Amino acid sequence: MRKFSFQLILFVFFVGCLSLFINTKNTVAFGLQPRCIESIVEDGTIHLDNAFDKMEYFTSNYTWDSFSYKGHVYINKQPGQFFIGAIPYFFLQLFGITYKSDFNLCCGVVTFFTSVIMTAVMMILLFNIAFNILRNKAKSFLIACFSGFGTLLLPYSGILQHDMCATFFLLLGFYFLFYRYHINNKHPIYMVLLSGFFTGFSFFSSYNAVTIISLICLYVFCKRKTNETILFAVSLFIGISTVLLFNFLVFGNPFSFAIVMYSNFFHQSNEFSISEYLPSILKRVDLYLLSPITAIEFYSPIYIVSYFGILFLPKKYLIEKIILLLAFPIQFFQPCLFGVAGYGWCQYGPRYLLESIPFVMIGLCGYYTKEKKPTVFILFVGMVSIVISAVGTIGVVYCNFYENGFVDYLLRIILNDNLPVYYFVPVGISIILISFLLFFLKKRNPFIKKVTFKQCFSLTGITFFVLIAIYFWFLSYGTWNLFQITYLGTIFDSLGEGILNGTYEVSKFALAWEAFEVNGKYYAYWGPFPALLRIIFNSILKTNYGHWANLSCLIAISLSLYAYLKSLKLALDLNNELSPVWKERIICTALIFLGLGSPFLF
Amino acid sequence: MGQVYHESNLWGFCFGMFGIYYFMSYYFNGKTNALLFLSLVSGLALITRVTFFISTGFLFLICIIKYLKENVLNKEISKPKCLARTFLILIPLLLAMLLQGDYNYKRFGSYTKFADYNHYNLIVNEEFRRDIYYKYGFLSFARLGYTIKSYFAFNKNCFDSKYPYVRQSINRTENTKNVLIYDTLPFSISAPWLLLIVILGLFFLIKSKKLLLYKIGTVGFLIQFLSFLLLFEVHQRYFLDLMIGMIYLSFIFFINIRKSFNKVFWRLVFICILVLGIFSMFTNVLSTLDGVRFFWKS
Repeated sequence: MRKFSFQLILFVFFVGCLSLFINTKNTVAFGLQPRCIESIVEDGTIHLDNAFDKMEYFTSNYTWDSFSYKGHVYINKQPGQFFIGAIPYFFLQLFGITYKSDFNLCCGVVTFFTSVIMTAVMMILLFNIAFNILRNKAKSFLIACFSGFGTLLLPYSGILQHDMCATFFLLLGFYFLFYRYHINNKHPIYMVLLSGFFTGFSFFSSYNAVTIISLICLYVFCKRKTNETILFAVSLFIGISTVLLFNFLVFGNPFSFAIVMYSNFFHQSNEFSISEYLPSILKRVDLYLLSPITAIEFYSPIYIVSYFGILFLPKKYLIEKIILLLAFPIQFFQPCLFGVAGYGWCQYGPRYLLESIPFVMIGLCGYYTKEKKPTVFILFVGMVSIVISAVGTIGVVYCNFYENGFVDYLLRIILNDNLPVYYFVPVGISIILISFLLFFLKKRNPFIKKVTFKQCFSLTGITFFVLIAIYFWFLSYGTWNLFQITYLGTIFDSLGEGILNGTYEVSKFALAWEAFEVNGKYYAYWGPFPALLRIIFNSILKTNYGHWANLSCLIAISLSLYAYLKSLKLALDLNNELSPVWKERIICTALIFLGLGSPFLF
Repeated sequence: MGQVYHESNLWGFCFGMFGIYYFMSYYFNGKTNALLFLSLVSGLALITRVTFFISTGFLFLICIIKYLKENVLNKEISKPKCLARTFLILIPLLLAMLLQGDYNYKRFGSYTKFADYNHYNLIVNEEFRRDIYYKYGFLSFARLGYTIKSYFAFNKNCFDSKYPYVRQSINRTENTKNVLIYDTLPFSISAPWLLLIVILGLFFLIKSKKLLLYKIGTVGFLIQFLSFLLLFEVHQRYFLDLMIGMIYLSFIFFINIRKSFNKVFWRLVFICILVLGIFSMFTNVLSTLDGVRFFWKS
């Protein structure tokens, strides 16, 4: 139970960090996805009838990835991602928030509740596996961080994407087996059943899952437990049957996959040909391993380092070692990749390797089980990978085939050229702060082995965060977007520049009528502190210049309420006539009254 | 809401609140570390909004005198050690003073001049504002009646039969030539619960024989309070400058709950605060919604 509580905090932290990278560019990267989610929820269909007429508000032009069948337009993708995305969207549209009315908000929230949550869960699962092997929280945390933030999982967590969904279910399938064999074997049947189902269900999301599915089957088979193997096979079939059922209901044949229908529509051959496939291997070696424009080591060097680490895993994990070692080559050689090159299309890094990433990253544990640990080397490679992956969050659809995506994006950052808006930053920061709060709550009281619901969500805590949410709403003028142009909103940004060049001058345009004009120079009325904050904000995200006022106010409000809370608590601690329950009630009431029932709200 | 004016006020209020917290931590719990933080927030208040420095700086002054008195006169620690610690505590405030001094000097050629209204666009360009400023001065006791009325007195014009039913409004007076009055939502409408608590807090503070330094601390808040009552403009955003001192006094109320008087009295007080508090929530939320509506219209 103690482990669970620590992982809960980690999960909140990972979710916070990942949501920082949700941005406006990725929301339009795969334009047909939102349309399909919209169709499922609003029309109750999977096809995109009149899609091309309705698509005006989707800026993406990914329309070639669709085909017509019996007068309806369908997308050439496995349907899992759409159904997963439909869950949060169903609740959103109940509140009147739709793709049509708030496209960015919808995409952001759907991404948050799908890809971000799935990636954070994957990181926690990897943490658990690493902890089981190493028995060390710090190292396991580091491995989870490198896996989530130092690989392609980070850029692709900013978008609802089929390979990400498949990767999640595959890892879930593997984890249940690992849990059963190494962590806790109390409920072997349930674990095997769950593993089988999720492994099979991954095929509902992506064709690329096939190879790793076969690998997980091999894992069960190698354990030589006949009953469990049979159970696994049954549940695997149930998982796979979801897509077969879908095909049957939509296309009239369980084996009429969308890709088959697509090929038929465009009269393409979909038969596997060894004579075509073999020569493509060389091209594939070049694209995945050698070319500085596309090879995996240029997008996630930690992946390669980690792959060799699998060799150093303890002997106890011999079967896992074999399975994990196979993950990369089997994904690399898989014949299910389509086209001769088999490298995908516009993408940041080799996306087709996504399914293998969490499996390969377990290999990092191998380095930490050795006596001589290459800690500095791994840290360095890990940090470099994190930087490359973070830069990649600018856009997962990268269509320049003549330049390395990281280099290109880096140049764009330096030149401040066409960068997206990371509009989930306030949400991410808030979640990270909550994770810190939970961490300190847990740490402060050594007798508490687990952060209980009551502690996390005490009356005071709930009151405080609800108030912040209300202020968030008011500050965004009901739009939930803090980054808006405000009245004289660039003054502090301009003053920040004035502070940096030592003159304290502010542009006349920014100041408008609020200027001190001395000897032809313009100065601001206010003290320089908010401008110092602007220097930090603008150095992080220059594209948001002039849009920081609301965020700055929200931080000031949160801190003010916190200071009031602390002072009130201190005052009430001096009062021995009141019971703790009454003190908490008074604190909450006073906090609400100050927050909503005083001129502080204005 | 997210304007340059509010931002500065909110940060100033924030440091003012922390100033009160660290003052109380030092005064009631004797935490020496709190002095360092008090110095820091005083410095930050100085470089954010100097009016909040009047109160926080004053609290810091009281605390540092108390610290020196306790440690030097009572010889609890050696003199050099005490002075070294005091210097260490002063560093954040001194750094802030240096920055603000430089900021002032570069703007107006004086380290202590925070604003020079002779160069202020609104004074230079707007006749009515210029007249008030030059004729009646930046601060004037002659305004006290009008400003108190605008900030505190009940104003029926704030209520309306149309949505959002409550909005800021000017409290008309017969002669307001010496002060510029903008729309406000006076305390009697926006926070009557706070007024009640402050009155009770003030009563307990006067009655108390122990809280000498806390009483002295009110002087700083009183100066800040007065400076806005005497100012040549009345604005809704100045409420935070007035409120900080009221919050300071309200903590004395919280310390003394149920310590004197009988249960019936306290029950009555709680009911009154609850009713007034809920009323305040309605008035503030509704009048702020008016601002949100204005944003969408514009």
